[in-house]
Amino acid sequence: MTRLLRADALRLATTRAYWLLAAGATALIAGWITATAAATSFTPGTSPARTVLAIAGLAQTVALLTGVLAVTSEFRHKTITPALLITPRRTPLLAAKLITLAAAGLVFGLAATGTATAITLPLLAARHVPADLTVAGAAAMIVGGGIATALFAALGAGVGAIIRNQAGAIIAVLALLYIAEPLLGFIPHLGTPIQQYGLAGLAAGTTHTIGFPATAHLLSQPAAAIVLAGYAAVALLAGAALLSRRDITT
Amino acid sequence: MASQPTWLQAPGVEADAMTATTSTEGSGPVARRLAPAAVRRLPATAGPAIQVAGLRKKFGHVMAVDDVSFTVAFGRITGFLGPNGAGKTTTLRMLLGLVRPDGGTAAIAGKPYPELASPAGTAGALLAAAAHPGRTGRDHLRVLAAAAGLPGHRADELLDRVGLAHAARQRAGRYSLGMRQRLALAAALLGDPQILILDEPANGLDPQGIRWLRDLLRTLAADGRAVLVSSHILAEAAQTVDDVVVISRGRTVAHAPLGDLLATRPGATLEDIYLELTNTPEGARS
Repeated sequence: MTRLLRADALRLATTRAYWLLAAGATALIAGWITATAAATSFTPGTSPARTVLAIAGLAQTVALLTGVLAVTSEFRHKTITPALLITPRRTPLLAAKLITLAAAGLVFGLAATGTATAITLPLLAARHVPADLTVAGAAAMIVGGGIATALFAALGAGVGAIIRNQAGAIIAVLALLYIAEPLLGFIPHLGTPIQQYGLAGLAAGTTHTIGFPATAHLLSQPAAAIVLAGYAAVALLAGAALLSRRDITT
Repeated sequence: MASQPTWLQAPGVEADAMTATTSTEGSGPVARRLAPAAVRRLPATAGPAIQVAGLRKKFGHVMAVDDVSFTVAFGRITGFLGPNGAGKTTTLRMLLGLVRPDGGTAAIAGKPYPELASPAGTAGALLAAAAHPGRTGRDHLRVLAAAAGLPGHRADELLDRVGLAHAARQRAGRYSLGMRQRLALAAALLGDPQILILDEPANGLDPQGIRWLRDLLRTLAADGRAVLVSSHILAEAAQTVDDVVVISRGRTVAHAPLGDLLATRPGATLEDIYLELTNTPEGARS
């Protein structure tokens, strides 16, 4: 397993696309957060800090896409064949990917949320806007950001193993996140469960930022993280089962 | 099988390097060049390097492989020949545990490939000239070396061996097909395996590359290694291989030493014999 983890860490580190994605997302989050913290007028009753830091949730979307890309690119570029020739047992191969991606997601999530917090709090203080965030609260958000990003990367790996077609898998997760969930969230009676148990709501819950809409009821941080971990586990188990059964013909 | 002429039967596993060096075909186009040292390297109780028996595979309603059986001996190059769509690639993928057979068995060094203690150290395979376009050739090999538990410098050694040292730090997306084939060959050789399985390795190689490949395969076999190489370039195969397996429409139609096969039809070339073997009575295949 150590060999596989070393191989997968090298795989991730030697692919420029992932570095560009992480750097681009961090720059986007930093810029967007700077503009929002510096210029937005906040609705009374919502925490300004949590509202601004919800933007750092982009890190989770990027992690989800990275997880999908890391697995589907093995099929798209046919590198799954040489990989399986070296490591014919498929479940350990996927497990190594999961661990590597989750670790990378944790680091990226901590960095992205940490950077976002470091930008937000001084800007709000400079505008004399009460941030409504304690030091412990900020720490819990940053840790939550790391955990949520790690879990989204793992979920992406699972989805990628289920839907091997790269474009198909990316469209599926983006459509779920940005079209299906927001639309379903407006349906009476269905709204609250979607806000709580949908991917966007779980990301907001795990990081303890505000949800969509801002009045959404969210799960507590531990509960949201556990549900999210459950989704990732189901996707990965299904992905592992399919990967073991499927013929590798490319 | 009982009704087939003797040259269609599997050559004995003991048809090893000793018989090859003493065979009378040494002066023919297929010079068997086996150093005595190579013979000593063969394991004393060596069974066949590869044993395939009764393999079958259907994809949906398409019968890809119907009944393929053959063995590959150490110290010899076995050509795996057949028309496009005959089932060569599917057979090789079943042999390597990538495709699950519907029936039959396939063993490498006596075991199914996924059950080998050291797969990459036992058999190396080239199936797809595949590399992530954004990764350098060197990094591609370093990833595979790490997964096999091999030191990173194996990547540099292999790049040198396949003539890609100059392009080691170029991204694989900028490689030509021939360069990607060489990279895939380097990946197959990473674990210094005793058994090589190569699917159309000459694809995309220029004449110099083809000559280089032929010499490489001969060197590998002379070291006592087993080489199974699929091809549909018959003129090339005739210059390279010791044994021939021909499949057509998913079935083994011939399996014999090349010399024995040629001896059945004096004056005929491998191409003549191949076309006759793979020309089905229904005329469904040109």
